[in-house]
Amino acid sequence: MTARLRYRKFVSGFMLGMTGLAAFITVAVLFFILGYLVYHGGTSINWNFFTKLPTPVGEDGGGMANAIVGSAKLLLLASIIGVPVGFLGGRVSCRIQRRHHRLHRALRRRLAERRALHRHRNLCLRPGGAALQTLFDRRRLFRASADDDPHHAAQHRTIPASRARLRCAKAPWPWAPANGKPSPP
Amino acid sequence: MSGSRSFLSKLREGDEIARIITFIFASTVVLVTLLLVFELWHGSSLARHKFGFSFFVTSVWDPIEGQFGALPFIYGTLVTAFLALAISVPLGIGAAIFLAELAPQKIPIRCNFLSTCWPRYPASSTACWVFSRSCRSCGSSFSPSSRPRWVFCRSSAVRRMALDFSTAGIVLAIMVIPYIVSVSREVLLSVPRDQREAALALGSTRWESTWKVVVPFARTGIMGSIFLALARALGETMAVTMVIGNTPTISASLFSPGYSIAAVIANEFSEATGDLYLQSLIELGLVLFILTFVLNGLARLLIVLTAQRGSEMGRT
Repeated sequence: MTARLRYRKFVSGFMLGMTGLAAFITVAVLFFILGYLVYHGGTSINWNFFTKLPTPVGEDGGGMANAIVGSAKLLLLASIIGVPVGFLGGRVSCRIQRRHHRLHRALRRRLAERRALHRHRNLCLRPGGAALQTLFDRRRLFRASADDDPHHAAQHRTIPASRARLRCAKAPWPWAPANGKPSPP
Repeated sequence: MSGSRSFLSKLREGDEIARIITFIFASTVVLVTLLLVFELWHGSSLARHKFGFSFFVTSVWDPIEGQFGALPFIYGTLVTAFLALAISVPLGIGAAIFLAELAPQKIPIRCNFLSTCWPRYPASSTACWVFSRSCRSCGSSFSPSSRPRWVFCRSSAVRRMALDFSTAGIVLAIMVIPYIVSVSREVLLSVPRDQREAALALGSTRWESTWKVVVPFARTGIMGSIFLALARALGETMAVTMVIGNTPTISASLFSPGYSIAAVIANEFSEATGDLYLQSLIELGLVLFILTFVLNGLARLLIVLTAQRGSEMGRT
């Protein structure tokens, strides 16, 4: 194991540990506050709390019925108004977005084709093009099929590393034979 | 299709009616926003004419003399929001990565439930906890101190939380973390499995595959979650009002009391006397709207400018 690999493994373990710590902290805070509320507020929860009105200051007893009913009424009213408007508004905005998206996608695909073509020419026509291309593919593997069309990549599975390499090797462009082989007609 | 049938026949079949109803509801969403802006603009005319642009740059808030300046409130809102983000973004994204990539299979199922119900968790309960913490001096008085210090009580030795920017930032951070965690986790989970496999097959470590492949792929969605959190932090009222200290001053220290726009509106709107005072508060509402609008616009711009190919999928 080289020092470089050891360092990388250390970084990996350390950072993963930190993410675990972050998750722990966030969940711990939640449970702490929840526990605090239950511990300090749980004792005053009883039947009267939900059914009685508040008593004047200084008097014992009473409850929070008005606030609870008020919250429920508020929720009901807000839902009656908000749900239809939000639902139908969302439907329309979704349709508009989809139309917009279709246009965008076509445009992006054209651009991606353009770019791929230029890149391929540049790489293959230079001396040592094949080697460069291998390097380039290696760097590009992660986004292998996202290159063609990002939306397509999101919808369908991308190509695993091994097959992506094969695809690049098997489909040379007609005017730029890879590895010195004659190009297919 | 639409050309072949007359408007009346479409109306009879109900298509057109449904379309009109949907359109009315959809336009309601836009119209309500416009109406809101108009009302804020119209309702603050007196203050706008009197103070003009100096409303944004003066820091005097004196209802008795009738002098109003919004600078301390804008400052407080921005400071608390960004402090909250500074705390919650590393924690939230770290937790999301852990839950999406590493956690054993059974944990995420439970955390899923937690992370869906946690955002509904009322902010005021968090603030209640902090407030009761800050008011609990050593059995003497019920006055929140404005200076943080370590208090060693008989019962507990805890840092007594003061009512200041840092406390407000922490409370806001606690409130916005769930948004970041739940949205980022969903986005990270929707990254195709092959992306990870490709990175691992090339010999990257687990962290490298996560950080250099999965996270960039999901970056747009993660940024979306952060901006959702920012919007929430800017507009949060009650929790901030309880812990920020309610003093309209500007000071570089995070351990000094301040004020935020939402807090001052909540505190003073019902007790405002006189038109100018009321209209200044309404103008503060307008300022908050503009602030949120501008920050969200900048966020959109940032996403568009830094968008990479391959990271489109998480777009919200």
